[in-house]
Amino acid sequence: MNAIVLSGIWGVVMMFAGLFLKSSKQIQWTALLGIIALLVVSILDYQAHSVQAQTYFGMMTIDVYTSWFSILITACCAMYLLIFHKDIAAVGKNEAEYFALIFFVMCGVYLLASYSNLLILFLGIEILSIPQYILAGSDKENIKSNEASLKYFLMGAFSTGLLLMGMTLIYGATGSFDITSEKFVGQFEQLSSMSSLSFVGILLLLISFGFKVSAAPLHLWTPDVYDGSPTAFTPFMATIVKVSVFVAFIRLFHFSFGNVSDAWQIAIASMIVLTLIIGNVTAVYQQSLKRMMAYSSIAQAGFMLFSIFAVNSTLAYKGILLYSVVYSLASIGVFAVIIKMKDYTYDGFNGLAKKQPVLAFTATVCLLSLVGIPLTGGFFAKYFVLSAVVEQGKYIWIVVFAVLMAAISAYYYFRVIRSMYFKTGEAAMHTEPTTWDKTLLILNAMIILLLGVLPSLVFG
Amino acid sequence: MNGANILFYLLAAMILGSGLLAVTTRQLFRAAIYLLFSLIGMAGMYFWLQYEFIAAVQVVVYVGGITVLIIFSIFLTQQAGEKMLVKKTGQQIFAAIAAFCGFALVMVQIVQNNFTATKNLSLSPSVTNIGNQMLGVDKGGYALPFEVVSILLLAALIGSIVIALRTPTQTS
Repeated sequence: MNAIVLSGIWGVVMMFAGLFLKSSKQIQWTALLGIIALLVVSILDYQAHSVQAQTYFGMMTIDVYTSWFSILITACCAMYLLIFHKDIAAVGKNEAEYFALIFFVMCGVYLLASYSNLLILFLGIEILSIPQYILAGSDKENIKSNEASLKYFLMGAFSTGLLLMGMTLIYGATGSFDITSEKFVGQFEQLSSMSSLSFVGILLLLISFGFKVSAAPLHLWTPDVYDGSPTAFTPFMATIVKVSVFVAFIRLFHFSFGNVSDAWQIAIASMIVLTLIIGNVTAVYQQSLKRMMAYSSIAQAGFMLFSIFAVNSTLAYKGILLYSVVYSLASIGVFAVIIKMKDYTYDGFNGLAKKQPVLAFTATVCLLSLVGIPLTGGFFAKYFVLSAVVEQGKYIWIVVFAVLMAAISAYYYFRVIRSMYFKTGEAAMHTEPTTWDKTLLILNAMIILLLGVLPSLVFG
Repeated sequence: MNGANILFYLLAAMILGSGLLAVTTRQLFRAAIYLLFSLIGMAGMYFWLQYEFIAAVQVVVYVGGITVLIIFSIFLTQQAGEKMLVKKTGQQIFAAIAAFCGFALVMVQIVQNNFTATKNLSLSPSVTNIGNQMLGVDKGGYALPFEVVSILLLAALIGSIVIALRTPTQTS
């Protein structure tokens, strides 16, 4: 709860920082101070809630799982801000406002992690989305950034409409927004007694969530938005925001709709298959690394959907926690290298290993983790979400299919590694990395490797 | 058929009729005006249900606020008098199919679901009650969402300024 309050307050603080602080350095330091404070507060929250869950006004329930996720996601955000704070400030003139919007998004993230009322779910998703539309369009001179912003806004507004429609139907069937109330729980106890209103409601919520996590066939906005947005904000949208929507997704569909999973599991299964095919196969044909990462984020969402698919499995919760952290850190690590380059195509990376061995090494570790090679965190992340489905015993063929798709993904990830190590070229840099950047990137890569050996570190 | 029923069907005809006109007219400005009448009809429906406060909110927010906003944006972006282009046949067919699917979805719900009439209100919709509920901090009170909305609005406000501002204001 304190983290929610602090993130809201720090957004306002950042706003005033833009007014009173003259130098860009000071603004960046204020933002870093804020995220560190947020990390400390979320750890304190965790200690306060580790004994028993607490309900706030019947709107939010904060338990161990929730507050532990808050710590992890804040840590990922801290890593993002530490690596990218200079690039964020370089995007445009309203640097303090960009940081303010990021803190507001964090407020939405905490709400999504802990809601127990559909109203808070809606508000959380909106607080998460609206600042993102702005961040996508923050490079105002660039027409692609404008396009990204408008596209994201229109599609996002449409999916919010579906979300609200779904909530309305479920409210009509249950008479309550509170997902812990008797009326709500009773409605979703078994499939035979569920009204048709709830069925359509669940379907609409599924579509809306699928849109937010960019699952196919609702992924169409993703490549243009991730590609068009300033490179400093793309990793934020693709990682921290996406995984927190996943946590909201799993919270509603496992805790509330878990007993009626027969009604929606088949829809998720087809989403997974489509997402994996479209994400992986299209990524193979991309020439720009930034666009490839956009498709890769669709493909990775396909894997994360497995944790939604495997209902009532503890492995699924562990899997989504590990996947969130590993995927976020690995994507942040890759984008941190992309943003330093002048040319975002594969050829632009030729010969990077000779010129910047540290950057090439950290990018390699991150890419290997995205493939899911053993000894990196990505391996266990994929292992947990897939074995959650195997444990359930249904739809084993999807697991086989997913492993095949992971093999395809190796092609486009390894292509980057090949460019960096085995091709000769200039690898023109946009900005030279400082020692501080390199230290952070090595730390990031080390965490990924550490999680590849000791994945239990993120289970709390 | 008593007076209340007649009133209901009149309001329903107004909402649906102007709604239909809003989507079929080829002039954007007229569509906005038809939408205005549709929204007024909704407000009338709330009055008919004796939800006076909600009816007032409907008039103030939707009729007064949203429609004016829509008209403003039409004047800022489009040539208000010009007719919109007729869409290609393929697009029209797809739009018709999509609209029909939406209609079928809603109709199936209405037909399948048993709506039981009830005389007892779950809550008296007086302004006092709504106010107490909105700022209540006990279970079922909406104080938390109320505060969260303020963060949402602040974020939206900052965002729109960032997007709309040409150069950052220099205040010392």
